[in-house]
Amino acid sequence: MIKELEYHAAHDLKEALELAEQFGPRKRFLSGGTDMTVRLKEGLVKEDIIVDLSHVAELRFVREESGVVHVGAGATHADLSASPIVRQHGLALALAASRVGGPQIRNMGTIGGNVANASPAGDTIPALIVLDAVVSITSRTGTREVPIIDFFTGPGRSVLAAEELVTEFHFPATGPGELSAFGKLGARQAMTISTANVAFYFRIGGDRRIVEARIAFGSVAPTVVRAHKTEQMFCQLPPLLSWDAIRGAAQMAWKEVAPIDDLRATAVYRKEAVVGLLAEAAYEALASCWHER
Amino acid sequence: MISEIRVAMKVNGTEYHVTTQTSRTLAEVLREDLGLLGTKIGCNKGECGACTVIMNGRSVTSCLVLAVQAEGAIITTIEGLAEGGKPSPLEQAFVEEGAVQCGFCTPGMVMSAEALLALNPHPSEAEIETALEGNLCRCTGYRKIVAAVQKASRGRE
Repeated sequence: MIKELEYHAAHDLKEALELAEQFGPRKRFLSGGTDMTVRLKEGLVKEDIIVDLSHVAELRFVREESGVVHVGAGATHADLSASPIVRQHGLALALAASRVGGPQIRNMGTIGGNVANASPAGDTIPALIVLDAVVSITSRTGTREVPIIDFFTGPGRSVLAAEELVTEFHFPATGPGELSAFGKLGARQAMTISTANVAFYFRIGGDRRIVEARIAFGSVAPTVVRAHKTEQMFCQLPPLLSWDAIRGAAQMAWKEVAPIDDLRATAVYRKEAVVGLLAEAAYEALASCWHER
Repeated sequence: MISEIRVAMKVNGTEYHVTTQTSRTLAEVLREDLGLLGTKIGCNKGECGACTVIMNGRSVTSCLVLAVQAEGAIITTIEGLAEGGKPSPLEQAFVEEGAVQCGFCTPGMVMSAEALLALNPHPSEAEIETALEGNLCRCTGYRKIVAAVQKASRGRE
């Protein structure tokens, strides 16, 4: 049973921001509702006013402009996984979006909701981190830009103030010689919360070495984390495709994650899982990248 | 306190105006207010797919949609597929392939398959499996369900 709430539908961004300012911490935004409706049913929503964003069409877009990909907070996971722009210029994000829930969840759930919820298991978050995304946060008084890595302050917590709304993400479009990918492990193939997930970005030099790497892990710490030491290991890989070498580099992840035991998995399982996920996804991506060249 | 809202939605071609509390889901309104009992509520948290309907051209789990979010929406439920009292070709394919065991997941399966075929009339087997990955059949009759979707696909232009 859901408690009775005061409900306001915002019809455009301006109205959403006015309602946010008017109600402040008493309100909670509703976007796709795939997470929020479950929380309402479980009595986990402490706010008593809902501001519904699902009719705010201007937040739902994907476009590329002068080498930068812009994704509106209202873009659904289905939009992202089907977008030729995201597939070509930020593959990790398209792959992450395609692994969220099942088709029905992807048709409703939005990237803005996935990020603003600030779950350590949010699938789009590691992808946005390795793509070096910036979050546009808007209020009635203006917009501020926050690098995604600085957005999260703990499980379910972020720098977002009560009168603010996440409106957009933007990141440099990846091009030739750059690759990114995402991998996830859950209790089953689909419709599952990540037990562990990983995203990475590699820039490959002319000598086939990885000259720049960004790696992020989810569900293995209070927030999604960057793995700087593991990134260094990948930049030291020899320019040949070796499973043992890639698996060895990925092993550094053991030292960089701090998972807990919970109902989905034990900490040790999660450490082993991120190593395997990273090694397999990296091997596959490097193999196809070198094969093309 | 605005906790009762008037919602206009078009369901199976008919315009409805429903006054509902903000706490109710689309699945509840379809079943309890409109009497469309074909939409099943299984897990009631978006994991089983039994409540799948097509909303504005896309499959959604109606237990996760607040009824108030459906304002202005065009919705098709399992009851909206038959024409002139005859099962749709997709429904007929489920019958012919024996893709129904206990039947509880069937309306959701059919609606997910219908949403797929509307966008992609000739999907591959892998595409069918992906389109149905949000629908659980605990009788585990998945092979026949996939076969039924393939059969319906062959009958489409």
